[in-house]
Amino acid sequence: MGGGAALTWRGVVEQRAVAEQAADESARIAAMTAAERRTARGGTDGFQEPVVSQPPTRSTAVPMRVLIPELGVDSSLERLHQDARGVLVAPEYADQAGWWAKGVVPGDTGAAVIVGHLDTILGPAVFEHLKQLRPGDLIEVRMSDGRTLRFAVDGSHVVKKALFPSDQVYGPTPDAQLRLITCSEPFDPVAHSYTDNLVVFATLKS
Amino acid sequence: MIRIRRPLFAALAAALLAVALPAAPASAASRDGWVRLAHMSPDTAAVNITLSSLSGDVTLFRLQNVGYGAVSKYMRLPQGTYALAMVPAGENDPNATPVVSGSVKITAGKAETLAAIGKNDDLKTTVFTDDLNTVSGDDARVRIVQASVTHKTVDAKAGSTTVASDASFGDVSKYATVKAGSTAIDLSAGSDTQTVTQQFAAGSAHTLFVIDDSKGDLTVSPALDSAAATETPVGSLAAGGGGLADGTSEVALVLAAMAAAGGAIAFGAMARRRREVLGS
Repeated sequence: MGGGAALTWRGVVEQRAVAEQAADESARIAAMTAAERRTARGGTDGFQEPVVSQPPTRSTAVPMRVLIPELGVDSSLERLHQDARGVLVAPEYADQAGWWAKGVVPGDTGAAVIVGHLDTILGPAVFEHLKQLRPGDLIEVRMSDGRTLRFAVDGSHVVKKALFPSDQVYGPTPDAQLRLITCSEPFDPVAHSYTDNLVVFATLKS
Repeated sequence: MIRIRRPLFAALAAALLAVALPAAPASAASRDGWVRLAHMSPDTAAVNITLSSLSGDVTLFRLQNVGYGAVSKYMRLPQGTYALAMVPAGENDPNATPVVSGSVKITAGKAETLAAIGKNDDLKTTVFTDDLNTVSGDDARVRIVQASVTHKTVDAKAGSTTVASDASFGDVSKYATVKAGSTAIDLSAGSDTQTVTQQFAAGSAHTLFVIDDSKGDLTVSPALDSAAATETPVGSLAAGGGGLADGTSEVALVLAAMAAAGGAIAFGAMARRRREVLGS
């Protein structure tokens, strides 16, 4: 009981202090001249010329390498294209990832896409260990203009290929993002294909 | 680990399914959303902006010296409600009375803009949600925010497309779909008209803040809301051959045997066909 009363009393004292502070502030502002008040509020004499920056255009640089320190991945990047039916064709080589060249340039607003194989029929490929990536892990992309872009993993999704979430993977984003895509188990031995894709979502670190 | 460099044995790749895909929110991989901040008060000097937890205990972002007309980059935050305070940029007292304060609710997968609008002695904040929807083909999307303090209502057209009619101070128009490329934006308020040219990339969405220049004439401060590739690939990716999967070791064994027996010729023949088979 006593503790409760003390707490309540302290609450009343604090409320009074806040109210007094607010009253002091109002009195201080009321005592100011209009010009002083304006200055205190950051007001200017007349209108300023606005700071206007045009939205960025597509970067002319291209990604050259992708590095994932956590997994020991350090791969050059081939250019990936779509086939006649619009399907994105995976990299030609097992040990080299590829960047979807008609898509977003890494570092630009939007989701840039890098694809690597999980394996071949003979053994592991460049993105073998992709599923081990955890939120916060680093992905670096070296650009042709010498920049190194650093992306942090946001999370991963294993998705059924038949229900591939194109909007999530390729859809508009308000910031610069990266997607790493590979295959994921289970393997369908009849179709000789994995039934799922693993998509890693990452965002450019500012 | 084997790091072989050879064409993929893609003859075994399965046909991909090109199916209709369900719509899903952008970036569902996390519970985060985004907010950006805009200073659109023509007679308020540059401000420092802090974005903090509602209790004010934790400062999450601090932007220095944000001038009139400026729109910040998007900042990523976990879902929740946050407090914002703007103080004059020259003010060093951390307890200084803010020029304006407000709050913003962040929803996972959504982007918000919090703008300070109005003249200095009547400054307010307004919050609106930005477009993260897919824009098809060669189109772009554009809207206006009427933040001019000298014009009661404003009309805006992008080329021949009407973006806003009679927009009042503080109004945020719907997005209009326009052809990508260089577009003339016509602003009019009564007899007062201005034309500004804007570049819209295909697949992108834009907000044009309609504001006043130093002479009180209409102008715009453009901001990119979101962007994507101009087209979306069909379906999924075939990025594995199965060598790591359970129960396929016999395939590898057969292949190893083939290779040992001089099957490399057959391998080469198939490898040359890879261009045809990889996309299937």
